[in-house]
Amino acid sequence: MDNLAAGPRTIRRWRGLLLREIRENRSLLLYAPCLLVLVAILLGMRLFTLLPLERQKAGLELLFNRFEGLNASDVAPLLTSAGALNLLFIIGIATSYLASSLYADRKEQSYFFWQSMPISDRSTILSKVVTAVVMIPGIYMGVLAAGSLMLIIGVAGYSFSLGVELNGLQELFAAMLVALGFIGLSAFIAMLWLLPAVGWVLLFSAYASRVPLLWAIGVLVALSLLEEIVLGSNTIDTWIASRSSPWQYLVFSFEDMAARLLSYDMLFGAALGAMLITGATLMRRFAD
Amino acid sequence: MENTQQESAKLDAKWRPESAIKARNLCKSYGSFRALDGIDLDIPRGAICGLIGPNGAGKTTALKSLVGLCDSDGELSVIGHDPRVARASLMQDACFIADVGVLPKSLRCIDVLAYVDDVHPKFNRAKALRFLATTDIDLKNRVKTLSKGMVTQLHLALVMALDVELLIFDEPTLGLDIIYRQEFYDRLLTQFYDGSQTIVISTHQVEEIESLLSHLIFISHGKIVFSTEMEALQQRFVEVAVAAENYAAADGLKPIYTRATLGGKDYLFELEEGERGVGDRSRYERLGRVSTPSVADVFVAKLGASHG
Amino acid sequence: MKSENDTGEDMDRIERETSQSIKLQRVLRRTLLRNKHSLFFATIALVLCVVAVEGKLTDRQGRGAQFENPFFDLEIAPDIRSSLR
Repeated sequence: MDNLAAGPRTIRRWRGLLLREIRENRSLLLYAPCLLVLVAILLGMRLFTLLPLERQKAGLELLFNRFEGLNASDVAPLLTSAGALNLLFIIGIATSYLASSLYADRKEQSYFFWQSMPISDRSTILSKVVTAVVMIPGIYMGVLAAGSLMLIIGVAGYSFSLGVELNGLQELFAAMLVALGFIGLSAFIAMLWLLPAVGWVLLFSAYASRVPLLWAIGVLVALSLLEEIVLGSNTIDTWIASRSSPWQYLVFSFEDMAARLLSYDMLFGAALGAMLITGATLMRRFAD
Repeated sequence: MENTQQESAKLDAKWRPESAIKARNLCKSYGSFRALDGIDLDIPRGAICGLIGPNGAGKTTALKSLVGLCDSDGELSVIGHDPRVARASLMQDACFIADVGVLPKSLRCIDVLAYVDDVHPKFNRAKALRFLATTDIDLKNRVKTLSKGMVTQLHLALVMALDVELLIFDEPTLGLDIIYRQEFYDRLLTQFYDGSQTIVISTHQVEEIESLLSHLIFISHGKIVFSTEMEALQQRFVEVAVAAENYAAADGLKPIYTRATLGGKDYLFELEEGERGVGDRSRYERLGRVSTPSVADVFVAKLGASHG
Repeated sequence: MKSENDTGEDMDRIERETSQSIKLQRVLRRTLLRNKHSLFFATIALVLCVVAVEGKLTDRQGRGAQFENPFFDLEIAPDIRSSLR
């Protein structure tokens, strides 16, 4: 039966682990991005159509003509910045996924089934981290790309029906693709940047006997308050504040990306994340 | 020549019984509560072992310790692994059904199957599907839509399609109706067990599995009260239906348990080491009709004694 | 003779290391890994200590959220705004 070598076996096992996360969290990982993107598009369209027709036409003319003759990579940062709001959605989805990831199975007691499979605690928790850092941004970006494509087709069609010339359509489309790529990379880097938070939430997910997310936030706030009152210092606040600027993880070019990935703060954060994730892994032995 | 060799091999196997499960002074506490209080186990390979005890005796904790689902202190070896440090590799050769028969509720049955197929190197998907075809389970349904009996059927199908050496069942038929319960054990014996695997079952419905067991362990308050092979049990205990005129004589033989019945009393005796032969029961036969006690009777007698 | 000695030393070393790691494991199991609460507090204490020490060593300053964009100029934006008016 076991006619697979070790390599393919590992790939197969990881396929099983990651598919499990999607199947178990279908609504959060698949439906939530679809819903969010759909609502954003519909809301934008509705607000736009509230404008008087002349303003609509002027806006659309500007949109298409503005991009004509421009280099996609020059325009893309603008779209990337606008699209960076999507990172908030991605982080929100990842947070609520992580908070329940080591909690829900303990609560519904399917924990005993998962633990009766030949999968180590380390692999289980690594699969949750990979889901949060790679799969959630990946799936969201896929949905966002599909939504953007439909949006641009819709807008082009609508503009065409209003008699607006679509001179810059090609450039706009190219800029959108480039921007989508960089939003995706930013999302991935943001999740790596947030590895300490990933580890923190996982630790509480493995530990708390109810409402893990509330505990995770509450304990952090309490610790920071306690530090100020007892020690009169602000180490925790300072640390969080020093790495809370979006420019620390947004990327607009491939050079940016290497700088972000290898920055001291990124690596230090990853080390802290690894400690917390190890804590969460060890916590599994007390899950019963 | 060949025969002699085979026979000596058999003898060897008999003299050096390889334990599937070996535990020494196994302990587990929850706060100040000692769920397992120094348990020793020796369960040979090929045994079907019943772990019998009242609620809260430590059955579930013991079984979870055996598969590394909870931490424990003491020496422990389960088919050659220490479950506390090598649960993942142990679970390639062992499987576990918990008392709260829970498969992940939000998954479809087919997804559960796909998951096990991906992560378990010893899973035979075709075998599981063959088994499931004989049930009413629609694989496209989510686990949460199945009845409790069906969830157990699904879990049993998964487990029986695993080519493993050790099965550990914690109250597998709890909450099922009699048809599902009978079917569960029938299938386990006829379609899975071939004498090479080791099975450990915990239950408080002893009478249901009495006929399958080769070994028996009574557990109470985190301690092993009594353990025996089934054959030895029949030699070790006699039950006598004593008529009223023989009560005094029967009481003189120090029964470990008495129970009033219609028209008399049943006495349960534990025989001394020397008496445990077939021919030595004459003194009991004089008192009334002698029979082999059921495990449930011995259980009540032994645990009653340990409680009192 | 020499190789025997080596093996002997190796065995000693392995034994020493094994017993050390077992000792360490026992100590850990009695302290940090005693129950979920001890593990939880130990993890958080460790992380906070590392953050505190690192903060001192690097003289970390809370810059607050910087919303200045150091990477490129959105030259195109004011233009659009003016023409939209």
